[in-house]
Formats: sequence, structure tokens, C-alpha cells
Amino acid sequence: MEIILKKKKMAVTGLSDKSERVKEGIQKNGFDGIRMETRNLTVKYGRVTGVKEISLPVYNEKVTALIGPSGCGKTTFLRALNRMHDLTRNATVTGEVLLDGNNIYHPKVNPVTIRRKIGMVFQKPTPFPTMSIFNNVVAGLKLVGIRNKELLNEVCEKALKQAALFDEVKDRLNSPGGSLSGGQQQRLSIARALAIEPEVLLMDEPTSSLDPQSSSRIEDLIHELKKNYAIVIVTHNLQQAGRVSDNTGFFYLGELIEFGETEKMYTNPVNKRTEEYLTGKFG
Amino acid sequence: MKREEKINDVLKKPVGVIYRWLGDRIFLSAAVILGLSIIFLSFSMAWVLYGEGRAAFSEFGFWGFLKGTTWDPGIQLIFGALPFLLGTIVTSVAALLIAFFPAIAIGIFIAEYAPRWLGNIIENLVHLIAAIPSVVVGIWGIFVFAPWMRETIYMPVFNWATENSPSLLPVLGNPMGYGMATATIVLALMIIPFTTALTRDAIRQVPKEQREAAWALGATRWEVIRMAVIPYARGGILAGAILSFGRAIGETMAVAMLIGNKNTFPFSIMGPAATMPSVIINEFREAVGSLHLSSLMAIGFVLFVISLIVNLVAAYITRKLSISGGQAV
Repeated sequence: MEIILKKKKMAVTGLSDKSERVKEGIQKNGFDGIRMETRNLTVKYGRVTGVKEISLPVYNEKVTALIGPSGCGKTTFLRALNRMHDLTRNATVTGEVLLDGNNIYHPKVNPVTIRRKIGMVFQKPTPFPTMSIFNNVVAGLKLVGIRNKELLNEVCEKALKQAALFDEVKDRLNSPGGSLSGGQQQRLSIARALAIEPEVLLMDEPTSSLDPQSSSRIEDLIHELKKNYAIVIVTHNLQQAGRVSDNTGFFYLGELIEFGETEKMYTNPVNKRTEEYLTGKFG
Repeated sequence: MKREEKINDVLKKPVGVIYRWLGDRIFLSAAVILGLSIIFLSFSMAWVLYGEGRAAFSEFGFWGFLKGTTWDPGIQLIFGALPFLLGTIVTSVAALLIAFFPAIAIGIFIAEYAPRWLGNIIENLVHLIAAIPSVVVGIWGIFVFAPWMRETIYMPVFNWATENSPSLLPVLGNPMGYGMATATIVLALMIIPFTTALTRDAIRQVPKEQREAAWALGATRWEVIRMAVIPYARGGILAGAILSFGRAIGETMAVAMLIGNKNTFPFSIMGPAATMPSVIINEFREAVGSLHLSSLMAIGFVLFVISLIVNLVAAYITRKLSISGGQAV
């Protein structure tokens, strides 16, 4: 408890020890800025294969975009990164997902703690409709038992500022989360995910249910957030992937066809299928 | 003739204009008439009950009838509904209090915890219990439950009270097994399936996204239920409980068979009592005096109004607390 409080205090006051931990992790594991990594990750629903033997790195302070046509397994892959498949009936995951070199699917690892470290933002905004804006943001902190009002206020303000929502809602933190507009609700969901200070942020088509203006605000937000987080974003929108990401993985029929720097892949794709997809020949 | 031409011929064939015109109108009028007839039916029911009970209301006054504590169809011909009103309210409220939390727990277990096959089995059994005719429940109560309660609970409690604190005896009442407590517990057993089924329905309505949002924050299973599922389903759960309460109020056969049917105050916990439906079903055949019959009708009218209020409250709560499109309305 005290440790958590201390950690939260450091985070709030800007004395985050996270960058230190990252450096340690990198030195220990010898990765060059790799925050997460999958090795031969396969997800099956019953007998149907969702994604097959994906090996892909997620770099620190970079945005990794996952693109590909509908049903190609990008979301399936993303949900494997914070063990959301544990909750799906008859989904099985094989292979490894390493966070700072440790396999999160190791039998001794508690999926609940993993999900606290790897935050997730969904396609649809998901504020808890009966909770106030404030309680929505600090919901994750209350789960770990933080009740200190002052601390919760600080974290709430910081998270809302990070999500570029604070100015719009600062006067009505006690009104219900459902009273916000769609774009605001999505930024509220992002603030809620940021409040628990995750190490990696997963975003599953975070702008697909939003209007263009809200979308571009969220894209700006992603630019800001990547200074502190490793971000993985699934998107249908090729232009969006091009704008926000540093690396891109192209999925097709459950396989990772190509992975590389976004700029290189967009200008000079190695694989023929990637080229066809990027130029709009299918998908 | 070519195939296309054949098809064209069929398509060009003059459509039965009159038929279509008429069909539309026949369907529309049937739907409108049937729909309006529901309104007419309910109002005329209330009207008939009130009309038949008017003699009693004018004899004792509306509030006088409700507040009267004497029900004597034999000699004095005085009719007061308060014993039945209170009997109904006490048994129903107590039954709801007993049934509420177990029913919700079962509903949550079926919807959230149980593996699908087990959940299905329990769910079907719950539906089965709900479908048992109440007279069968009453028979079971008379021959199995009431004697068992008498032997295992009422008699020991009564004997203990006789020896240790005789002042409790009037509160406890006659431990014969048929009385308020027995009827209430059986009533609770009868409404658990309804509350359970409605709770489960309300929980199934909670969108997957809400649960996943809570999971993604690192919530445990119980925390997900507390944080995302119950708040979202609260309107449905409460409305279900109130509808079950309405059923408890109207439940007739099993209660009439088990409550002991004593028409006068004072009531006691284990001793006999009566409810509005039970007195109606018990006395209708013997109601020779017109004032007696009218009083029973008046009780029927009061019961009708109470049920109406309970249903309206349930509808209001559902609307007030329900959540649509991620927004609390």
C-alpha cells in the first residue's frame, strides 16, 4: 500500500522513476528500446486460428501501428498483449509476450497486475455511465485501494490534462461521465487508462467512432503521449497510421506480412501484398 | 415465350388494388381496435370492481373501510379491510426482503460465474420452479413445509419462550405451523425465481465493452461486477424486484392455504393471519349478504389499485435508472 502510494506520489509530482526502470530493463535485457515483444504468438478461437506465429517488437517512446483489412487479426493480436483473451470463451494463446523481458503468460503471472501495467483504450468510448467524470478517471486507482482524496485529485487532474480534456470538464467533474460528447468520452477513457500510469498503452481503433475533429484531437494526443509511453494502435485508417506511427505492422489473414518503419513501408514496401494494400488494390 | 418476358408478364399483371387497399385498412383497424380494447378492458375492470364495491365504500366511507379493523360477516355485518391490507403488505415486504439478495446472488452466479452448461441448467430449473402452479406449492406447504417448520422451529421457540419470557408469547403466536411466517417464507421461495430471471436478464443486457473496460483497468472478477455490471443493470434489477413484489401481493392460492386465515387483529409472527387475495378466495362462496359481497369486491378494487401502483413504480424506476447508449438517463 505504502509503496503504491509512494509510487503514485512520485508519478504525480513528476519524479517518475519510470524512465529509470526502462533504462534498467533495457540494460538488463540488452534490447535497444524494445519495451514489449511477442515471440511466435498464436491465438486460436476453438479450432479457428486468429493470428499465427506473430513475432513483433514494440519500441519504447514510439507508436506502433497495426494495419490490415477487416478480420486480419490486428485486434486479436492487440488483445493478446494484455491478456484480454483470458476472458474470451475457448480462446487459447500460445507463444510468448515479453514485457521488459518477462513473459506475461507465465503461469505465475497474475493477469490482473498485467492489465494494470498495460492499459487499453477501446473502439467505443466506455465511460462507466453511473460514475462521475472524477470517479471515472480514478476508477483504476480506487481498485488498488487508494482512497487519499488529495492524491486522487492530483492524479485526476494530471490524467485529464494528459488526455487534453481538463479544460473542458474542470468545472463539472462531478457530473456523470455519460453526459460528455463522444469525443470527450473517448478522451475520458484515455484519461482513465493513463491515471493508473501504465507502461504500455494499447489502442483499439480509438477514433473509428468519432468525428474528424475529435479524431484529430486524439491523434495530437497520441503524439504527446508517446513521449512517455510505448503505444500500440490498431487502425483501419491508413492515413492515420501514417500520421501517428513510427513503426507499422501489416497483418493479412492472421499473419504478420511486413513490419518496419512507417515511412519506409509507406514509400517502399518490401512485400507485394503490402504494396497492393497500401495502394488500395484490396482491403 | 422467353423467360424474361414471362417474368415481365407476371410483374405487369394488374395488382389487386382493392385487395391491397382493403387489406391495409382491415389490418390497421384490427390492430387499433385490439390495442384500444386493452385500455378499455383495464378501465372497465376497475370500474366494475369499484361499482360492485361502492355499497361497502358508502356504508363505511372509503378511508373508513380501509382503516376498519373489524371484519364480521356473521353477526355485526361490519367490514374493515385493514387486517388484510396489513397482512398483504407485511407478508409481501418480508418475502421481498428475504428473497431479494439470494435471488440477485443466484442471478449474478448464472450470468457471470457459472460455466455455460451449469448456468443453463440452473436457469432452466429456475424457470421450472417459476412455472409450478401455486396450488401445488400450497399442497407442499401444507403437508411438508408447515409440519416441518412446526416441529423444528416453532415448537422449540414456543417452548423456550413459555419457560423463559412469557411476555413474548403474544408476539410469537400460536405455533401450529400455519401462519404469517410460514406463508411469508413460501412466498419468498415463490418469488425468488422471478427476481432471479429478471436479474439475469438485466445483467445480460450489460454491454461487453463495459465489462472489458473494467477488466482493462486491472479489475478482478468481483470488482468488474461491482464497478461495471451492477451499476449498469441496477434499473433492471430493481424493477425486477418490484415486479416480483407485485406478484407476492397478488399471490393467492399458496398463501390462502398456508396463512391460517384469521380475519381479525392482532396478528402474530407464527400465528394465523389473512391477506387481501386470501380473504377473497376464502369467502366468496359464502358471501350471501350483499354488503359482504360488496366488501369483497371493494377489497378487490383496492388490490387492483395497489398492483397498478406497484407496476407504475417499476416502470418509473426502469426508466429513471436505465442506461441507454452509455448514458445514464
